[in-house]
Parts: sequence; structure tokens; C-alpha cells
Amino acid sequence: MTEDELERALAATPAHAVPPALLARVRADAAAIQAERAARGRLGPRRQLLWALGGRAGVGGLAGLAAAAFALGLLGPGLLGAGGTEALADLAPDLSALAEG
Amino acid sequence: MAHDDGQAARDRDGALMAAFAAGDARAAAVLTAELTPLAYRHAARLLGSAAEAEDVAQEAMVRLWRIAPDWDAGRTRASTWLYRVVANLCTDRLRRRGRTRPLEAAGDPPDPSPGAERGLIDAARRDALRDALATLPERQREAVVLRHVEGLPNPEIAAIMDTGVSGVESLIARGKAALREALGPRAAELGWME
Repeated sequence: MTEDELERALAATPAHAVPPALLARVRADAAAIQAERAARGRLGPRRQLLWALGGRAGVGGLAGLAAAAFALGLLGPGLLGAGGTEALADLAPDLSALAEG
Repeated sequence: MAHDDGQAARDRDGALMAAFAAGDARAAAVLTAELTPLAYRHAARLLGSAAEAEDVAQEAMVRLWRIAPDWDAGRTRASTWLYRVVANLCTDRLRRRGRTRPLEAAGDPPDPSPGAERGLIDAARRDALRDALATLPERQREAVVLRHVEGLPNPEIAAIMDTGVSGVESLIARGKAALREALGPRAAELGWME
């Protein structure tokens, strides 16, 4: 078998047809990521920070993270200002909704 | 001229990635249609498994979507970036697996045009090539597939494989020598010597 014959054989390798279900999943991933980014863009700076923390910790881990931060005093007057507790209470529904949708 | 073409392609990819990051659904559709087949084909050839190739292609595309806001427009083609990610994901899987597996149901639709005999020959050729490629070291296989199956130029392969052009040429030469040795005894039977 010559080099030319081998190269012709390789070039004639049939392409695998892409499963339609894969294309559908990739499209769905793209739409979900765009929606997530759009939702994040609607948040204010403090909420974006918490969003980023939530992303790192996982939504489930966010409650633990917040509790630990409260225990350490980080989410008191330092980070969120005097209304920190109320702000976190405000955020809970947002985060839940974003995590679900 | 080729340099200009390459820059134009990188600029186009950059514009599509920026549009995607801005929420443009059409950009998502264009990138999905152009790049998913590339990712899937490459993964299937490197892994020899259609099912695993689907997982790798989806994961690689998710990484593309995630990086879109930080895409360095004009620096590289999206396809080059994607080939690299696919190859890395495949390498991880191959290392976990410890060996290559034969390509199971490849997902190729039956070709209705040739007759049954021709179809059998094509299937035998495809199987022989797949088996021979599977015997190559990973990087030789990747270089040979990118050059002679995907038809990419050596400089782009070098960018994908993070090596120099001479390194790519060496990988391809050694890979082809091994393939010729593996396929030589069956070349006449499979109609590759005419």
C-alpha cells in the first residue's frame, strides 16, 4: 500500500452523522446559558457578587456559605451594609427562581 | 492570502462568539450547526465510541458557551479551540478507560446510493481503518486524523496540538508508516490498490 493509497483511503473515511438528539441537547445548553447570563445581567452588583458565590458553592451550598459568613460577621455591616439581613431575605426568592429556571 | 483568509475566519468567529455572549439566538444556532458535527466526528474518531463521543461533544460545546464572554477575538478560530478541548477530553477518557474500545454503533446512516456489495466493501474499509487507527499512539492518531481525515493544514494542527509544525509532520509520518504496515496485508482485498 503506497502513501497515496493510504491518504486516499483516509480522505474517503465517511463522516459520522451527528445524532439529532445531540444537536438538540447542545442547543438547549446554549439557550440555558444565555438565559442564565441574561438573568445575571439584570442583577445589581451586590446580587451579582452573591450569584458568583452561589455559582462557586452551588445553590445548595449558598445557604451554608451565607450562614458561615454571618457567623464570621462578614455579611453584617461589612459587606451588605446595615440592611444585610433584609437584603439576603430579598435575595432568597431570586436565587431560588434563577436556580429553577 | 491564506493569512488574510485565516484572519477573516477568526474575526467571523469572534463576532459570532460576541453575539452569542450578548444573547443572540441566531449566533447560537450558527455555532451549534457548524461546530457540533466537528466536535462529534473528532471525538468519535479518537475514542472509537459513538456514545462517548456524544458526551464529549456536548461537554466541549458547553465549555465553548461558557468561555464566549471572554473570547479573545482574532486570536484563534473557534474550531481550533474546540478541536483542542475535544482532544483533551478524549485523552482524559482514554486514560480512565486504559485502552481503546471498538466503535460500536457508529451512528452512520445507511448510504442508500451504492448497491449492497459496495456497501459491504465500504463497511469493511471503514472497520479496517478504524481498527488500524485505534492501534496508533494517541498523538499520532490525532495528527493523522486532523491532517488526512479532517483535511486541516499542518500549522492549524500544530496550534490544536500545542506543538510545532515539524512535530506535527513527524507524528503524521510515523502514524502513516504504522497504518501502512497495519493495512498493507489487506489493501488488495479492500480495493485500496488499484
